[in-house]
Amino acid sequence: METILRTENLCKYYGSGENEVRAVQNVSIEVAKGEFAVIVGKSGSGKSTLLHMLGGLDYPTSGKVWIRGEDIFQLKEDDLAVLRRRKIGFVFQAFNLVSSVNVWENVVLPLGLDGQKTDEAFVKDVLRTLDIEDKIHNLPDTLSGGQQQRVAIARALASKPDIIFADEPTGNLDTKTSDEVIALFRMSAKKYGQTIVMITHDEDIAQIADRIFVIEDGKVVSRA
Amino acid sequence: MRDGKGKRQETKKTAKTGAAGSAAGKKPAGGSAVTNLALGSIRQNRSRSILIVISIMLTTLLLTVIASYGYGMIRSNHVNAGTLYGTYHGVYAGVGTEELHNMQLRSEFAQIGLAASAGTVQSGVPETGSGDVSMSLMWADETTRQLMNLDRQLADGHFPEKAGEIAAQPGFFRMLGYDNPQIGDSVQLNTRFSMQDYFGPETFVISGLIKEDTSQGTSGSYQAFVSEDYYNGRAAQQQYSVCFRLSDSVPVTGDTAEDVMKTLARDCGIDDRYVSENSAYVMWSLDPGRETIVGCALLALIVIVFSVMVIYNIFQTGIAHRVREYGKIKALGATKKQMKKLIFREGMLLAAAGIPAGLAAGYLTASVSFRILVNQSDMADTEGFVHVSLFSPVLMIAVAAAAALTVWIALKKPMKIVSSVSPVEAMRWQGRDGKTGGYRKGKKSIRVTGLTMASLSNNRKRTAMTIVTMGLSCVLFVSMANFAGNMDPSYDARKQIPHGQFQIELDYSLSDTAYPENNLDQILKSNPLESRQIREIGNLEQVTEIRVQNRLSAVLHRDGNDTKKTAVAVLSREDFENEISQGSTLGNPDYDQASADDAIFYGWSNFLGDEGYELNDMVELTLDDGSETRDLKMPLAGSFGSMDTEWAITEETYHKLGFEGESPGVIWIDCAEEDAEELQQELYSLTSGIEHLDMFSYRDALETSEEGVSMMKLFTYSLTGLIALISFMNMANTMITGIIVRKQEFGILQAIGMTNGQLGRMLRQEGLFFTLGTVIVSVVFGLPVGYGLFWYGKTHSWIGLHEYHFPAAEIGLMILALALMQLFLSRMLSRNIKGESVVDRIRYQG
Ligand SMILES: Nc1ncnc2c1ncn2[C@@H]1O[C@H](COP(=O)(O)OP(=O)(O)OP(=O)(O)O)[C@@H](O)[C@H]1O
Ligand SMILES: [Mg+2]
Repeated sequence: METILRTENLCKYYGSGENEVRAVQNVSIEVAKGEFAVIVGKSGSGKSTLLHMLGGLDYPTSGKVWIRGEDIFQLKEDDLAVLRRRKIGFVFQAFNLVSSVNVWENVVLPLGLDGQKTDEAFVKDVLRTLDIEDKIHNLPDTLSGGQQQRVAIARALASKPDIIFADEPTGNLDTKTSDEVIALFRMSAKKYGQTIVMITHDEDIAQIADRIFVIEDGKVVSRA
Repeated sequence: MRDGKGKRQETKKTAKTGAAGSAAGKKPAGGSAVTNLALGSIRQNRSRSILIVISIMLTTLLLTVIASYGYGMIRSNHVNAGTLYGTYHGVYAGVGTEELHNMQLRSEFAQIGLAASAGTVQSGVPETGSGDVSMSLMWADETTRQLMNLDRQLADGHFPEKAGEIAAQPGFFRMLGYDNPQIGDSVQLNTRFSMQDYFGPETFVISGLIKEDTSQGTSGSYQAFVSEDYYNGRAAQQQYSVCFRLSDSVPVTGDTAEDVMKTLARDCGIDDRYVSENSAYVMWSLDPGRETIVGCALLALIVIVFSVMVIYNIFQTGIAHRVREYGKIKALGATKKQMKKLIFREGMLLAAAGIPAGLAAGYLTASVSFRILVNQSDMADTEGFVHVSLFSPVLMIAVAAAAALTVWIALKKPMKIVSSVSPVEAMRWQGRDGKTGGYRKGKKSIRVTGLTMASLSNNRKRTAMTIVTMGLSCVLFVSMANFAGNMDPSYDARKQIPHGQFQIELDYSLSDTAYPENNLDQILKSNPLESRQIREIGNLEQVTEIRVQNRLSAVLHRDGNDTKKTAVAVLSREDFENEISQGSTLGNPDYDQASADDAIFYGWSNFLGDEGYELNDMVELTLDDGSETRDLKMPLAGSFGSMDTEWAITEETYHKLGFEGESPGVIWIDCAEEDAEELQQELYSLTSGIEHLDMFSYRDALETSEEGVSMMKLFTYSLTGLIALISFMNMANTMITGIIVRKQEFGILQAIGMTNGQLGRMLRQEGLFFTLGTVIVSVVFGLPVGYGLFWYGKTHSWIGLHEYHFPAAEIGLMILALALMQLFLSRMLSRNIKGESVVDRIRYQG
């Protein structure tokens, strides 16, 4: 299978001397196209830090990340931004939405920034599946935490990216909704050949993954 | 899953405490904890805190400067009123012995001083009788000298006591050929007591020398003092100018003084038209007068309103962000009272840093510049002038209180929000007005421009407030600059020398019976302006243009056999319009109509009644150009405000009446500016031998008027500069804060693929919107305000205000400044963001 995402000795250290925090250490992993990969680990183990670097949102202290064979940290900042809006979808742990525009606009924003036409039918479909179609005119701060997270998921899916990075996308959701969201991710992945990298604490989700990275003190200790 | 949730919450909690700053952790409870929290918040928002402190400081500085100036002006004038203007309240002219006696009987007059004109002196070489300089003799008694500060002007010796004594400036004696006058010297003068007398030689002994008045030019007038005996020995009938000081028991204020003095004059049998008030002394010694107080209060009010808006706006920007921050602290268990205290302390700590600095800087600025301004004026040269201190504790406290009050008002809103909403609501607070209710219609697709508009309309109130504050600061700038820019010293100078660089005019009397050759009718018979030398002027190579205004002598025939000699100016259309534009006309003068009717105009609107004429009367007169005469009845069509001659007709009428030759009364000579000096010398030598001519230069007039204008401009521009500086701080603060509090949101935008270029475009669009809004507000409000100010100044004859110019340059300058500022800010911002990873931006806590 084609490798879409690969890292080599990825490290991220915060601070220096006594206060040095080795958030991510020597991570070398590979994810194949179309795979559903999860990252698990204790709180503070470095999951989010790793995910941010995989998506080019944070610079590593050392090491490299390739997406479809391209060394992303060699790219210019603006080229990286363009790569993000075309090839990558993001769902953050917190602070996901732009507060001044409504739900619909939040979802279609990456397309707008890229100058693309919105596939309205598709976006509506996603919103319906996520059960937030009646909230499209709401401003983000009037939504519940779970609803906000679902809007972020819709946004990540709307541009049909090659890879979706999601940081605990189901963390605020009840079991039923959580299951539906995972089903949606998988369906979308299948239909569009997308790759998904997701952080989760949910054992059930980890069970159905194609690949699991267990991270401990910044090191990937096992992969399956 | 349970497990995961618990951990997540823990992380969040850490974030909450973290946001409040490390100071929060030091002490868990008590008043100092609140102060520590406030300090922590100030440190965390360092850049914004610095901006606020600077803004508060500058605002306080402006308030201090204005208050100190007002205070200094009133106090300096109050303290120095007597020194500067004399201690008399008014003067009655033309008072005879009987009326004087009436005055002396009244207790209202505390002091009565007498003075009288004691004749004129022939200047120059006595035989030729050329009168370039008016030199007069007068007598003033001791009380007058004291009330008018005359004794202080004495350089040496004493005022005349015996009949043959005289005191004057050395210049007076120099004019008569005594180059080094000393006390005790004998001088011979040609004097006469009145127009009916012949000049005759008289010998005086110099008893005193008066200080040279440096402001007096060569063409000034000199006054010499003689003794009471001298006056009494010559006057057939005593006629005094009586200057007096009212007794303290007379209830007068600056506004009523003139009426009181007029009533008193009538009671003493003195015509109230001969009353003149020493208005400067009356105003400053009694009370500053309503107008001054209202003016100062108005200015202070404008500044206070302006400061409130600026400080309020500074606190208002980023209020949503701050309310969310406060919400987190509240969630930790801070009580309502503690929350209020926290916000209040935060504001007051900033005020405590900004206000004293502003007071100190403002006082320093005011006292130094006030001293400079005072020293530049003639005032400070007056002996006995006291420099007042601008320091007034009451005023300082008032200014500090005003600034603190402003901060407090600005703090009320966040305090109210934070204490009235639940912590959760506070944490989510977006600062939206209630109307939108959390909904937004939105667009099907959205790009950079849509995002900009969304962010602006989402914060509609703040956007509007920012534009209005910025706009109003610019309004002040536009109207002030506009006003100062319209002060035109050349207009003032052109009032005196309407055309060209030099003015040569006839110097004549009207009814000198002893020396009829000095009268206009005689001079016109062999008009010196038509002499060979004057004709020569046209051949001088520097001269580019010569204009001539004709003048006729006239004899007015009034009721019965009463006749009066006078002069009539012949106005070209341009001169006619020029007189109209100076205002205060009567009867709507119109050149064509006047020419058609052969109408005549009076020269001084205010004195038409005194002259015994009314509009549309037929004026019976004989006009004379020196060679021909015409007996006429001309309709009196109106009057100009203030002219050189008593009467005027149009050029067309002049020709219609058949006056063939020229009878020039004034000629104006123009030349290239760089040739002026050279030409002046040539003109001097050409005209030096000719009698009955006066010469004036435009440059001299301009110089005098420029001196006055530059003071006003200096004041206006320094005020405007200060306002501009504060406005800049306000605008910079608004924009920087707007960017800082949205950094997180920018981070999200960039995470989903916004390029730096797009972000820059969004910020530029916002800036453009603010700039356009500001320009519109300032133009829509600033132009009328500026025009109003101009109009008020013009009708009150403020210096140099004449023609309104659209302040295109000022507005252009303002737009340029705004654009540069935008550029500067976006540069600064992109540097600020560069090098930070997207995650850092998202995590940024502002
Ligand atoms: N900006 C930063 N500065 C200093 N240390 C940081 C920073 N960001 C993260 N860390 C540290 O790096 C480590 C890993 O953090 P990370 O957010 O990746 O954890 P995580 O695995 O996502 O935890 P969780 O499951 O709670 O979200 C933590 O110890 C954290 O304190
Ligand atoms: Mg995490």
